[in-house]
Amino acid sequence: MKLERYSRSARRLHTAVYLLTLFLLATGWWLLVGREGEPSPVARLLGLPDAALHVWVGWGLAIAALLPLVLARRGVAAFMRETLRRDPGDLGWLLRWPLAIVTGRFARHEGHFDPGQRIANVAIVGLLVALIASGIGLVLVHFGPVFVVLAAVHRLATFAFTVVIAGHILVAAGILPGYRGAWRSMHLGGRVRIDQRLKRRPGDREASSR
Amino acid sequence: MVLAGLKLRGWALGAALSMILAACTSGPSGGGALTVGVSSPKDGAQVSIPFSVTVTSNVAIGPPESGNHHVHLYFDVGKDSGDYQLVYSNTVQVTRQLTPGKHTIIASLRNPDHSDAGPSVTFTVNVTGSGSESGSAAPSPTSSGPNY
Ligand code: HEM
Ligand code: HEM
Repeated sequence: MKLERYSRSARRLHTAVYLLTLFLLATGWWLLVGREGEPSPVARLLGLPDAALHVWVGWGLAIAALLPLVLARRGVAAFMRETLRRDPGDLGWLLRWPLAIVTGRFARHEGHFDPGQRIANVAIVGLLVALIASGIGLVLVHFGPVFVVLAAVHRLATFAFTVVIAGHILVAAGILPGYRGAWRSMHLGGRVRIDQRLKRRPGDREASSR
Repeated sequence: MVLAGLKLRGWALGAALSMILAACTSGPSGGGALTVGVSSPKDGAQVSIPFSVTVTSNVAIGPPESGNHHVHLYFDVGKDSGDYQLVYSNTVQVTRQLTPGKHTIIASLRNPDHSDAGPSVTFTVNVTGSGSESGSAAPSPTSSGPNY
């Protein structure tokens, strides 16, 4: 039996965001490690400096991130509601999580996201907002003391974001025994085999208003 | 719950907006035009690798973290190329292995985010063959073929 966890538009948005984000991480780190002025292979291919490429794709991400606020307000509201909810069993779920990574025996939880996903959602979205806002700020301010602050924010957010995304990919890629098959929820038509791991148990409630 | 979500979203938008507004009011170009120049080497000078370049400007030159402007040196390419040397202080050593002969260098004043700040100067240097260990270091005087 298969369960569709995410709508087609949610999966499309996710794909757009992560392709753009991975590109920004790559070009951003290229600049950060001091390869500025030395065109990366992509920059060579496209004939544009890495810094310029980074900013163009940055605008792309800013637009991709704003679109759902305009086009999918209900989806955004549902995402916020499901991400910010708290239920009595959450702490227990988190306590069992380290073991469940290996065994796949997660404690049951309420709502669309498990408590770990909720924390990840807040971290990922929060850091993305920080990166986009400071990035746009860098483009608009160009120089001076405000630039210095924005550049520091942009840089620190990059460090934190890199760690968080690495964790997200590790979990999402389904390498960990407890998360096998998870990646299908966002790919290949978005169907997870619920006879495997992401099992719903009797009494689980699905998120309302979907 | 919905309210919490909306509030958070409003906050994020508000933060982004106020950032943009702040950027507009504290915008660049505080009036005077920016300048950039190269005081050494002189245009057309003979140099050997490495040589140092001294840049001048009416704004402070420093690394991006300082919020100051800096300079990019472009060697035989336009200033929209991705291949350049960073100049984060007023003097810099050029160690790039330029072939013997004439080279056109653009010194371009950049914003700390590396975008073009406007002014640039173009100068040429005549690189004399040096540094090569092999005996026949003398540049062939009739090499009119393409540079390699
Ligand atoms: C996932 C999102 C992003 C990541 C991980 C990221 C990462 C980075 C990193 C690591 C740097 C180099 C900083 C340094 O050298 O100190 C950088 C620079 C920059 N970023 Fe981003 N960035 C992101 C999104 C954006 C966005 C959305 C924009 C704006 C539209 C933007 C605009 C800039 C600008 C203007 C610079 C300065 C250019 C430079 O130093 O060469 N970034 N970014
Ligand atoms: C660089 C950015 C990102 C990359 C590389 C990335 C990668 C992935 C991958 C490979 C999956 C497939 C695994 C799965 O379906 O569970 C996935 C799933 C997922 N991602 Fe991302 N992602 C990124 C950004 C985001 C963002 C911004 C969010 C929003 C909060 C997000 C939320 C999710 C969720 C909720 C799942 C589904 C987890 C599940 O249902 O089990 N991701 N991600």
